[in-house]
Amino acid sequence: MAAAERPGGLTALAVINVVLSCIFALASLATLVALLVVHPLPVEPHAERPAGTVVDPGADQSPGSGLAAPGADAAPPVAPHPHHFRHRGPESRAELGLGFVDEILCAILLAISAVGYLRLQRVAGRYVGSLYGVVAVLFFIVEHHISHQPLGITGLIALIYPVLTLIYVNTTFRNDLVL
Amino acid sequence: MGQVLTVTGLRKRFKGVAAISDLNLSVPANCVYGLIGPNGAGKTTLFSLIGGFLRPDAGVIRLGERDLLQDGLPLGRIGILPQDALFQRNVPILAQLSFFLRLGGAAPAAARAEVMETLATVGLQDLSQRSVATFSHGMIKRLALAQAFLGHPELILLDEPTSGLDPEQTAVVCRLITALKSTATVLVSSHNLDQLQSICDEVAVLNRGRVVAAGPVADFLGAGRRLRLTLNRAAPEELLTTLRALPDMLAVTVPAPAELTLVMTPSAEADRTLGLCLQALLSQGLVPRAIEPAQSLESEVLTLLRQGPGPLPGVAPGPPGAP
Amino acid sequence: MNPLAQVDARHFRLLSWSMFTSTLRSGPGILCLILTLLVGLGTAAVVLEPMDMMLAANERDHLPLDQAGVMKTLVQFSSPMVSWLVAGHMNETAGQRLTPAQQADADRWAHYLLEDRPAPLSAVYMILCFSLPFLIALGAFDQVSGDIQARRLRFLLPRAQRATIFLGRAAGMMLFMALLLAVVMAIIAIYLASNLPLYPLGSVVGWSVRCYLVLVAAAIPAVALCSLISASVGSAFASLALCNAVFCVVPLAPLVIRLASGTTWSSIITWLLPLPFQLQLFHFSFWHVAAAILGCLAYAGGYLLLGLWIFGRRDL
Repeated sequence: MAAAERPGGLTALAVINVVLSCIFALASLATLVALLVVHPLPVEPHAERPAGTVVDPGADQSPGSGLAAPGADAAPPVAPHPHHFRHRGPESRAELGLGFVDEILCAILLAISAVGYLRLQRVAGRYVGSLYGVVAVLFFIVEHHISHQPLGITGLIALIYPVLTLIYVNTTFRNDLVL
Repeated sequence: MGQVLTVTGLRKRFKGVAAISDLNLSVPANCVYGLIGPNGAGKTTLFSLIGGFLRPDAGVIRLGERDLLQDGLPLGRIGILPQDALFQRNVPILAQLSFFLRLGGAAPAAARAEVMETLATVGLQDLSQRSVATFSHGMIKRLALAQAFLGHPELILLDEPTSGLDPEQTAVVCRLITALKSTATVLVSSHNLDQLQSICDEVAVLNRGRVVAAGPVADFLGAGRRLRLTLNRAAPEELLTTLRALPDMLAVTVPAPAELTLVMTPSAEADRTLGLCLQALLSQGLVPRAIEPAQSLESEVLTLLRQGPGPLPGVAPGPPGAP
Repeated sequence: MNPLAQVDARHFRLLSWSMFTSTLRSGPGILCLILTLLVGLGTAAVVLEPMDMMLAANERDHLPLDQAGVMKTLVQFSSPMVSWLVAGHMNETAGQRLTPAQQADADRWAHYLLEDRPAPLSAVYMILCFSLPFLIALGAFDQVSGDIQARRLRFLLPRAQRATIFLGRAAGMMLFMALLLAVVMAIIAIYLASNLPLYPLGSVVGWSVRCYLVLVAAAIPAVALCSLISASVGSAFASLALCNAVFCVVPLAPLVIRLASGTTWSSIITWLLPLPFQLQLFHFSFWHVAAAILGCLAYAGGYLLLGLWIFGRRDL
């Protein structure tokens, strides 16, 4: 009976929740493996160079090269080439642990709220759905603060679904999630 | 009394099959007008054509002086209960019906108030915040009735308004329809001819896309008081001759071997005639096992449909003045 | 009777707002919303992420920012996409290899998009312009087809004219897409202005507003075509399939025919949609842009008029 009364949008959100929950669950397994088995990535090589070293971007294509070190006054500022850089991995096991907690929590909250959307329940749907939105945003902020990485537009993409969930369950579908 | 709805020469075909063929109809104002006919006669198609859901292949439909096909439906002046239309399944019924009223110009608060009042007439006021997804067939039918009454239209088309309703709800609906007569004209179709007989002022019988007979209900029932007697055995011909000779006896027919239909004058003397008739039957050893009225719209319409084209005595073959 | 004369302003407003709110609540509407955000921000990520990384490394290593160098890199990243789109468009328009004058025009156009205007925004918005029809089809395929199938319109017909119902719903869907595009572009513009302060704020805002209007102009005929298809078929699923088929087949069919048979007449098929001139919306010449906008509006008007004619006559 609830299935027929449910707006199509809530069904769509429930399906997306289930898919994301599975993805987060798999990701948490991978993070767990990384925590237990794999060591975190090494620190950037350029940090090990002696102070004052200047690297010619034309001569050395290794990652991290191409920038004048602080204090070097012999060479002018050089436009960095993106090939000289690579993604930074988590610097500590704490980041991995935080990521694991984030993923497992999101997986659980997404699964519970999916059931809540399907059954039009206030607690499981609206409250847990809102909790997922808040938790996802908070973890995002904390992880970025810890990793000292700036907020990229990829990060904004990661915020789309939690923010949309927060908005939808508290405005558009507020009067539907009442059971 | 003026004609509020006039249909002339209406035709509609679906994939080569004529659903309506040269249909003519006139509905007077402030009456309950019944549409009768077997399945496939064209009743629902006629409603759909009047309501603007379907486009006719030919013909004219006038609401008063307005040509509906040329000038379009006068918005808000017609209420329709379509037979098979669906409401939105996951929107509360109050919101849906309020939207209809707001299209008619009502302010949001006034629309909600009128909707609640209308829902109360059909007994759905406590379910205003629910959606039709949880409604039974009868509840959906009552909701559809309520939407047809919204805005106090001057012409209301009700396609089988009591189908699926229990007897109590049916009685409520019939009372509502009868009460509307003072402010609106109601065109109602139904397969329950006893119902139509009780609420309608005039009826039209449709068959194969045409009106085969139309007129006041009283004309269909015919003059005279009619009774049907079920006997323990067939009556001999001499006895029938005796009964026909009784004073105030207009006709005696034998619809079935052990049945008699008596047609008497509608006067106080008919009781005496009935008494004489019963004495004559009992003296011959014929015992009436059941006596019931033989005047019913159903029997007359069935007779009409069985005998084919050609009107019943006293009933017009089509609308007066039709080409 | 002129159907446009039947349109009632109050009914139009109510029906368009009803369409807007029901799209927000519907499954296809939410999918369209999420996908548009993903495509828009994803495209921006592809274009802007390398610059993010470079600037982050710069900041980490406490090096002074070589703005000119970074902007040169930005142009290098955006140039392939923009130049390819521009050259491809002019090639299609010319129908053959470009003459030197046409090539110079194309170069000037690419220079305008990459140097005179924020290059990453140009790349993002041009790509978004091409993906818009598919996103719109997902949200706009069911303007009336589902209600025709379920005969829900029978409750509306005694209360509103067919023309008002059809146009009101189209307008509601256009409003939904316009607001959605506004959100996407506001996010990208704010991000670019705040995180990558390489361009003057006025330049970013001005070009974003201009490109927003361009995208809305590109979206309007797509919504109108979906309205036409929705009114023509009595099934929501068929409407979805047909909308997607049209947006896929019309651009690809001339290419396939040309590859198979070598003929060039097939490019006339693309004129079923405003594809041949849609990219002119990003042109440096005001008159090109104005003509392209008028062309888009003319296509939208044509689709809507045809849809109105079909909807006004079909059995509901």
